[in-house]
Amino acid sequence: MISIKQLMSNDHNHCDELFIEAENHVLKKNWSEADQALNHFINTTLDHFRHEENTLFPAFENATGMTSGPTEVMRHEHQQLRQLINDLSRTVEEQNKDRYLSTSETLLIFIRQHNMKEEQVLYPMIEQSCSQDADELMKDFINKDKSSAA
Amino acid sequence: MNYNQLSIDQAPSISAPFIFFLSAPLFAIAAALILIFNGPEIFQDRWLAQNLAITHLVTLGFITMVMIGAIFQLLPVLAGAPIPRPELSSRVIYGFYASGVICLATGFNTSHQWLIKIALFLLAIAFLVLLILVSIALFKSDVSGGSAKGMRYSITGLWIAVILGLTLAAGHAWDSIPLLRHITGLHIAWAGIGWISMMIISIAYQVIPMFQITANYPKIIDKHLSTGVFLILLIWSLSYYAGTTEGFSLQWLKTLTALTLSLLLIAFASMTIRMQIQRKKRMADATLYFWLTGLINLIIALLLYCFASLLNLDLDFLIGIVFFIGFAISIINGMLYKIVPFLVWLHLHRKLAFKAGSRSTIPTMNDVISSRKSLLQLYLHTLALLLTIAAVFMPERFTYLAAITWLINWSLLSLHLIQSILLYRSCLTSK
Repeated sequence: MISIKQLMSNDHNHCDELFIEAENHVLKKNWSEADQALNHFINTTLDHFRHEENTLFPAFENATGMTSGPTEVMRHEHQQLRQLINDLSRTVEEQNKDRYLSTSETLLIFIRQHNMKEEQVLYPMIEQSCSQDADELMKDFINKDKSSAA
Repeated sequence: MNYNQLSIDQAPSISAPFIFFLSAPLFAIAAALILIFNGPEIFQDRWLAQNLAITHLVTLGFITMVMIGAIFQLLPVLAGAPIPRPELSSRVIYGFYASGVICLATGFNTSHQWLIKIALFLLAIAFLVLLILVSIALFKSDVSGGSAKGMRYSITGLWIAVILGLTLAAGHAWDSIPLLRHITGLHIAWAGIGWISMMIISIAYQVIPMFQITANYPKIIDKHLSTGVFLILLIWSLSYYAGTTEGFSLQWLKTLTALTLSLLLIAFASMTIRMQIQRKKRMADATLYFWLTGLINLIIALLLYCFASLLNLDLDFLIGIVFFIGFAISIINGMLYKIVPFLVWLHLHRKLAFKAGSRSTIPTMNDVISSRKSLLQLYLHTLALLLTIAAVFMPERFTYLAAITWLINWSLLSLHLIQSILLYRSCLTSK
């Protein structure tokens, strides 16, 4: 059986790499490459959030009856992250390097500690409470990866 | 499984870590002032009472002060183990701790035994409350992995360092209690390696990959390094203690374990430097340079230690300075430049982000402390460190220069931290 924690953590790492790729382009002021790389990061990250919010979190909430616990915190942090991501897009449009780097530093630390909480606490909880349905829960997410790779 | 580990209120309010962070440079400033008032004589004898005052202002007043503040912030994130009622417990611990350190340093500096007695009680209460709360939180936590494991060892190390320290302080405070000077080596080892180094290692496992997007630490380091360091430190301690008993010497074991311990820590430091050089995030900032400075100093301190113990030389002053200031303070100083701006941003964002019209006023991390400011302080810090090392060899020429540079350096750090909290307040009140 597949591991939800493993797959979702791998996706976090993938997002980090895309994020750094965009930042390294900004450092060199390659704005068109930066824009492209940032969009790739944004799309992958928002897909990740959507999968959690629409599939994994509801499954966990149904299984445990907890709707105002950890999943609520994570949803709230997703909202904060979406705002930071919007800020980041804007600085690329404005081609403002300093502003970009300052926002990206904040986003990076926030997203990494968010990921850490998910990987160390929430994913293991989801795996434990939804152990029977892991394949089903991750089916669309894996297929999405395959279709985007193809 | 503890389902409340991610509850919404697990992150303490900004005041819990900040009271510790903001106070730390003030204690370091006091250490610089004592150095200025006493001058080059300080370097004549490590057992001078003024030296004990300076050492404890640096190790307790600065290093451990920041680390306690960081524990309140990091425990929930790194180990999923929040400390219960963080606002109340941080204030209680802070009150006893800060006044305890002041009494201890003043007691040493003025040779007033009654102050050391008071310090002993205040510090005992502060550490007991801290250690019990943190120990319960850590041992209840389900989170496994190198970081959580290292933190457990590091807290155990602090328990041992504190018990040894209190025993020594009792010897200073009461004439009827013998001063067990021969356990000073154990006290320093458990404070420096068991507590400070172990905590820095545990935090490095998480923050080095997090800040610089490096590869993760190799599994063997992540899994076994902290256990190895802890066990070898334990064996070293036994052989050290045996060496102080008459007619019984385990010198070979003491040397062997000390060298192995040094080798393990050098391996950790070199591995971390290599990861940082090969990092994916190309941008370099003050925190990265503080880390590199700290790790290089750790390697130098350990090489000096090996060199001194093999050739039977007394390099205590030099090793102490390179280790506690060059290694520990560099890294802690660098971490403050990430944690403080991030917490200001995080708490403002929580409070203001979803209010109409207030979003554009939330400062980014660079607005809180700009990279120009933190780099300036990095240069001052490095200069002060080099001057202090020079003062070990030529006290007459360099002591005052070093002390004044530290004074400016720590005042600047203090200013940066105060400006951060003022910015935080002004953002809140302008709404």
